[in-house]
Amino acid sequence: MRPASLSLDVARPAASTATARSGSSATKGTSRALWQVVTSRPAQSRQVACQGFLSGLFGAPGSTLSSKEDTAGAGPGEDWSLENLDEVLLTELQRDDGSTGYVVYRNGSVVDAVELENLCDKVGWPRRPHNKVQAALANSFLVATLTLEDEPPASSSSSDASSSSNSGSSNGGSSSGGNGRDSRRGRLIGLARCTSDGAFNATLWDILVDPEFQGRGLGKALVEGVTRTLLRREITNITLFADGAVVDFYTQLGYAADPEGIKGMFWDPRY
Amino acid sequence: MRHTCSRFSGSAAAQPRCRVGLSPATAPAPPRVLLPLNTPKLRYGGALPVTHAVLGVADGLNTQKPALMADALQQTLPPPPISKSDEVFLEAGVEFVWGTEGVDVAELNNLFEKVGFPRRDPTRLALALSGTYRTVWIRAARKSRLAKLGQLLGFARATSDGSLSAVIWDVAVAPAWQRGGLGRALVERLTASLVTDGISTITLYAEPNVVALYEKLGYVSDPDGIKGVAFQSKHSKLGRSMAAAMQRQ
Repeated sequence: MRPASLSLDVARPAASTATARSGSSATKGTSRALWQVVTSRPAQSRQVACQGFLSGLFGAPGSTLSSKEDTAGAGPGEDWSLENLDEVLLTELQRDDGSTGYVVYRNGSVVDAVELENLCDKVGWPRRPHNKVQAALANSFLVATLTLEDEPPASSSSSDASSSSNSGSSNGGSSSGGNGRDSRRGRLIGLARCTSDGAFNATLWDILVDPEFQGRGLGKALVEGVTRTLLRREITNITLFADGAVVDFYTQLGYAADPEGIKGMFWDPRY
Repeated sequence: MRHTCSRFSGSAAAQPRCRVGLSPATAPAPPRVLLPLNTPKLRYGGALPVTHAVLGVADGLNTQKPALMADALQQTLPPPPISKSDEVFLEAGVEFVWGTEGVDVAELNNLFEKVGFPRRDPTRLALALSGTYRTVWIRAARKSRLAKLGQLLGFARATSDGSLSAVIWDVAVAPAWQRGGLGRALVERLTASLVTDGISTITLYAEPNVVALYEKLGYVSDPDGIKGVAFQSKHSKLGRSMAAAMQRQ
């Protein structure tokens, strides 16, 4: 039995990842190259949301804590510690055709099992029975998603109050106006869920990002978002199971394998 | 028997329970029944469980619901055998109880303390119990020199989504009652219960000195190189900054 210790497969180099990293807009023809990070935006405050999540506390692999991060009174990490994390605009991506996609992190979206299993297909995971996936989603303590949407969320998190005029209010009556959990918002490009007792322990499962959007720090943002959400609820024993090859991904986010020699174990009499 | 990492950064006031992402209709509480010890339920392709019979695929020929067929064809492993029956333990003066009703939080904290687990804030511990998928505990069936009638002697619980995954936590047996197979009995029963529910992945986090014990119970560490990983709430920048920010609140 293959244990369901599903984790973001950053170790598996998708061919398109290498292409996109060349950074050139001339890389047409691959689906990956259709999405490029928008480089200049007038709404700087939206960038705060991005940077708070994507380049906040973990930074580059192996980077040491720089003194300016520690001493800055309101560094990105601290800005976002207690902000509402239930819906965060992470980044904007622009297609070659000029249209903009908004990558949104969201807690508590209703996720369809079919949508999730299609995403699992893309990362090469074996399929699981539909009804079991549906039940698992319904009974998870937290389901966090990354979605690619055509409009910015109405309540884009920002520490700058003046940015509110820049959020999607001009769209008026858009489906993203916070009227509850619409599972048809945009395209599911990432997910993480966890089980918990709601007080002490939580375990993350099914952490994945669409390969087309890997390599941009979205996986890290996803895991960081879930981690912060749990910590805000004072759930501090946050665990997961990771393939050996991706443990380093989690180490960079403040996790450690076999802490104090404690071993994660799976039940299976066939082993 | 000690068990599982439980790095709790300190007690705190309980917060209102919030099932983030949970649909309004929550799962029903698990049944508080003893297991049919001598007849483990086996499910193989072709011999379908009752629920599927109700849905009309009992004959295995229904081609209209491929997803359900896939579930039926997925072999479910037999649960672990129960090495010592309830009757044997009853003669020894203890009984197994399912569910959290009757668990006294103060008594549970005393048990935790005796086995070296941290004591928990009682309100938060009650919250944890209400959010736990399945609980099994051991109760003194009669008064003896080692226990009062009804005293909590052992405990184990599991969190789960009820379908794909479960994690066992807080396995504890009072020191005076250890070395009598009670810990093994708890884990066998809890595991069997989860397997019987059809939960695909059952896991736990074991301290180094009890890894061998769980191996005897059918648990395996690092299968295919998969590692257990935990957040370092005290030793990571994210953990420390979150803790500082929440203190400032």
